[in-house]
Amino acid sequence: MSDHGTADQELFQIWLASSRTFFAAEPMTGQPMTDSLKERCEGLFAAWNRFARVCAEASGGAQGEAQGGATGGPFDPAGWLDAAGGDDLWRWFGGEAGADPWREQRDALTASPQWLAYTAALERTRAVMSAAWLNAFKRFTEELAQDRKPGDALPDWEAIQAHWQKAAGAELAAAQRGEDFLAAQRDLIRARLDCSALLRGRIERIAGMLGLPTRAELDDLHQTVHGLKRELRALRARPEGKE
Amino acid sequence: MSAGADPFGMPDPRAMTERLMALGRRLAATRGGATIEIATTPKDEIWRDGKIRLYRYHPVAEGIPSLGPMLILHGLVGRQSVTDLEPRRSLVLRLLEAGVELFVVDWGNPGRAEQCNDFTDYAEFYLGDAIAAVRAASGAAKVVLFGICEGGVFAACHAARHPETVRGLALAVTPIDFHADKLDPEPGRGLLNVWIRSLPADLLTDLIDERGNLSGQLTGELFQQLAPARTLAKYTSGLAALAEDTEALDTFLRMEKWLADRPDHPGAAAKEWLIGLYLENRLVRGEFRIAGEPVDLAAIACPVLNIFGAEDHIIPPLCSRALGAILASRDDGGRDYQELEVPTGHAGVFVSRRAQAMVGPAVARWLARIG
Repeated sequence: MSDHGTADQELFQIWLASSRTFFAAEPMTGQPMTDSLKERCEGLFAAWNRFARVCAEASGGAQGEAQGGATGGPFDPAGWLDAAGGDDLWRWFGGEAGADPWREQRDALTASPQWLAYTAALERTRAVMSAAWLNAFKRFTEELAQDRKPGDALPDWEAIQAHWQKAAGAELAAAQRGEDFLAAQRDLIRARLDCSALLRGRIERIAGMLGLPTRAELDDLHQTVHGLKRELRALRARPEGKE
Repeated sequence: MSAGADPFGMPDPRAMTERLMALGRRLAATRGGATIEIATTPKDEIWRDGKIRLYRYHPVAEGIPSLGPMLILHGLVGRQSVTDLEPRRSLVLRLLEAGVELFVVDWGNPGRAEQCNDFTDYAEFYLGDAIAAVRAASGAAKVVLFGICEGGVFAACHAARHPETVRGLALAVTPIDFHADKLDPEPGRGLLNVWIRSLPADLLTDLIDERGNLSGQLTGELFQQLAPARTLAKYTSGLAALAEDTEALDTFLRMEKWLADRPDHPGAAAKEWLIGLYLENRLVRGEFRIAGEPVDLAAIACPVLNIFGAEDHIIPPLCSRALGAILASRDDGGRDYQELEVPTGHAGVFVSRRAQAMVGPAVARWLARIG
């Protein structure tokens, strides 16, 4: 572009005009849109379009179009709307990752899939165990009814408790050996560890940003000390005078 | 249990309320367990390395102790204080009364600084140092080891590798064949083995790496889940039944204190324990390595006393008894191998009333026999 100076000036004027239009708009009160507000919105839309066009020109949009309609470059607002451009948008608004105070918040949002997987795994485990407890109650009541003949005295409280423990213990043990339970337990542990690893990654990043020692650094230190202790022990065990 | 008008003999609601109130007052008086004392038998510290301590018990029998010296070592999953819960339920006291010169290792509370400690550190180095300290303190050339659970694996590995310093090996509730539970017909036993085998090695590794160590809180919760119906009854009807029995309630609270005091298990050793032993069963296959060398349990040359709980749901009896077959394969046919079956569960071998009359006297007789 030969007239970057003019384009920049025009871009600034348009930005200024659109800002004025926007802030002069009436607050949205749920009332039907007035003509005046409509005009301002249309003005804002027109200003935005001009802004986008000038941006595209300033950053070589024409070249982009010639290459098959691709977005014009980092200053082309059209590019901000596609997936790849979204990353640029965040970077420009937020700065580089290391200086981005909102990154943690966004990462917390991306933790949702792990958290959902964990809660789902927890519910699956609970469902398996709930079924086992229900079967335990069923077995207990059936055995109690089976053992009792007409005219028998009611078993006392302690006998009932002993019977319950035996029946429930056997039913729960069988369930806890079953593949349903084992798979649910395995998934639950994996899901919990995934959540934990995500959190740990974020904490390590924050610790690194603040210059605090990270868990990984401390682990390295412990490993070094352990290795040194082993070497010291080996040196002490070596016969005197032997190199 | 008082029988009221209820046809099931259930306690009268008012009596039950009073009982629970009394229980609440008693529990509050313990100030969160602070007033509950365990492992009170007098002892002196004679050696330490970092968080690890070695103690020598004061003799209680008349004259100079005539048996031992014997060194008690627990594993890293629980704590050695289970052998000295309270004076009436103390294997330590029963052994001291029988005239045993007794020592105990306390592995302390491993933190992340100990996460790299592995079986070689415990079964070879620290145990070797502790044995040297016992030999120096007692003047004996050899020591009898009394290994409990995982501590029994440490002791067995050490005895196989260093026959020159071990005069006898007593094991209690010690797993040797970690897959022998498959032959146990009782479904309530060996659940822990089944659960660990159902997890792939990389998941077990990640589980331990998450905190660097295997969390003591996690293992405690796992043990409670092994028998959920029993756990539920224990903290409800079982606890209520103890409300008017001060002595039984005190024992219950001491046991709870021991159960709650569960240290974290150093990470590197936990990986060998869960993956190398529970998952891959390397010890019985002669592939478990200490100090870079495979351990050959058949090389245990000293007399062995193998104690197990007939109702142990954590370490099924068959997992412990597998040592007999291994020793029988050696040249002398494992002649000096003896078993003691105790009709209790895992911890019951040390704290149950029946065990008090069985285990201490049997160990003392065995010590007298092996000289």
